[in-house]
Amino acid sequence: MNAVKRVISFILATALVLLAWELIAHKVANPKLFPTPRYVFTESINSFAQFDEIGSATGLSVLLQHTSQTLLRIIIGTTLGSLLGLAYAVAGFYWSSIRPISNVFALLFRSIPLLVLMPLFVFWFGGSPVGIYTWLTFASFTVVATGAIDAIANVDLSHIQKAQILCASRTQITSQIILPAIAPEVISAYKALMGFSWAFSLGAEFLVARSGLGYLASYAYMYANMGQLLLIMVLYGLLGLLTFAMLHVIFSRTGWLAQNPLKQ
Amino acid sequence: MADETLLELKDVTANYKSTTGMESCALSSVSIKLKRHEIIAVVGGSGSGKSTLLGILSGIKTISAGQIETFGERPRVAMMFQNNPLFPWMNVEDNLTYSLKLQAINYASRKKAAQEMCELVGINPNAYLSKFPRELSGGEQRRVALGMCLLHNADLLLLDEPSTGLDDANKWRFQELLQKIWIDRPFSVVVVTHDIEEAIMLGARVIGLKDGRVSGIIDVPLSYPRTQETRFSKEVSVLRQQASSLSFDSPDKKQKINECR
Repeated sequence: MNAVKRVISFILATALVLLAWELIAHKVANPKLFPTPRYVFTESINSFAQFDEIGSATGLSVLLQHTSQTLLRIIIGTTLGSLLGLAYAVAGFYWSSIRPISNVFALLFRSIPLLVLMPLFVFWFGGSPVGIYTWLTFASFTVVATGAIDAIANVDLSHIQKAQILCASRTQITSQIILPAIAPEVISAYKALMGFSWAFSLGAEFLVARSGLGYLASYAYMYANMGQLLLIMVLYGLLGLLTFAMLHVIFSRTGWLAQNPLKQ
Repeated sequence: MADETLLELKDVTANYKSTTGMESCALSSVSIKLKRHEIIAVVGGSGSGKSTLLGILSGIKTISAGQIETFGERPRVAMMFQNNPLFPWMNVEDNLTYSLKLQAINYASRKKAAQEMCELVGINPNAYLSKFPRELSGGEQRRVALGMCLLHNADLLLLDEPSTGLDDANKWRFQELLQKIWIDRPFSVVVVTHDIEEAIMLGARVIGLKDGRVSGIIDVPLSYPRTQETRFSKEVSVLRQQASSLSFDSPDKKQKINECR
């Protein structure tokens, strides 16, 4: 019943947005600056065919091809970065001697706006795909590592003491107490990361890439193609929603997280 | 066995260092002898050093001075915490058998042990083994936590405010359950509580703590199991008055700091 309600709500919200968009485009805004939905979902899609070097592909297939490039970068970059970030935070717990240093680094990463660092990565790695992957991995690492370090600091000490009294080793405490205890906060950090990752990828592709949605957006911006820009924005929105829906399904089926009354 | 000493604290002092670097004394020259298969209750107000005492007995808090003497092998200890007595990410079965898992006992044996323990602590295994702690009432959580401690096969069971947050019916039920299990098993118990009646109903001795020092010890000459009739008896009423003399004043921190120096 909840799923049905959610689908109905989504359809209604989408219909409302499209209606408002159509009305604003027709009655209020300049159609060249703010094209109608009909134009965007037909003409603008077809116009992406110009990016095909051979000239045989349709606009839709070009768009899908570039979308898949962006998706691949995000999946690889965020997965690698998240795993490294989690490992970094947990290592700080496991080896207490390195904790002060790892916490200082985390504080440093947290204090610097990540997007400011992007031009550095552009200079270091040029326009190569390695640069984009490294940038996404680094950004993901920072978000998850800082979230996980906070989560570890918030673990109820009595859980660790209970395990200590029952003679658990440090490895057992790390794997059986710390990891499950921080899971909800790490998942929240990961969800936030999935939201940021589209912006991170857009920024990187906008600057240096030869493919991907950011690359298409940079061209649309250069030629003031508002239809293409709006379409890319809608696509980012849909991909973001899809990501959150997938994460929700995955995490709502995982043990105690599914039992958490505060789960999203 | 009842007269054998399990462990003895001799002039034990424990300090805490505050964030400003100032040391404050949580326990000062405390001497307590704990016999095998004995229940002692420790009463005192907030900040009297009750939790520090449990921390020392459990091994998670180190002492600053004095000595802890054990007789024979170092006793196995299990502790039931006041808050969050269970791991919230584990279901009842995994909580109960956590100690066995740490000892690498196989799954079939753990499952069997969990079912038997559920029955012992008065919980229906079929209905509860797969439940998570947040789906249990406070009383059920305490009973599962007790089962978790018992499966550790401890020589010494430490209970930190076991009935805080429970209504009278659940409190009494827990006390009866603890006594019933304890009578058949050779472990000792230290119950820390601010509830005088609970201390008398469970302890063979009631030890008062005030400002980190032992303020008095009262023997409770009542046989086990102590039932509802015992609770409302004249003896308990008299003992309650005596035990009330063990002070519950909040500690004067300044004084404690000076005493530690």
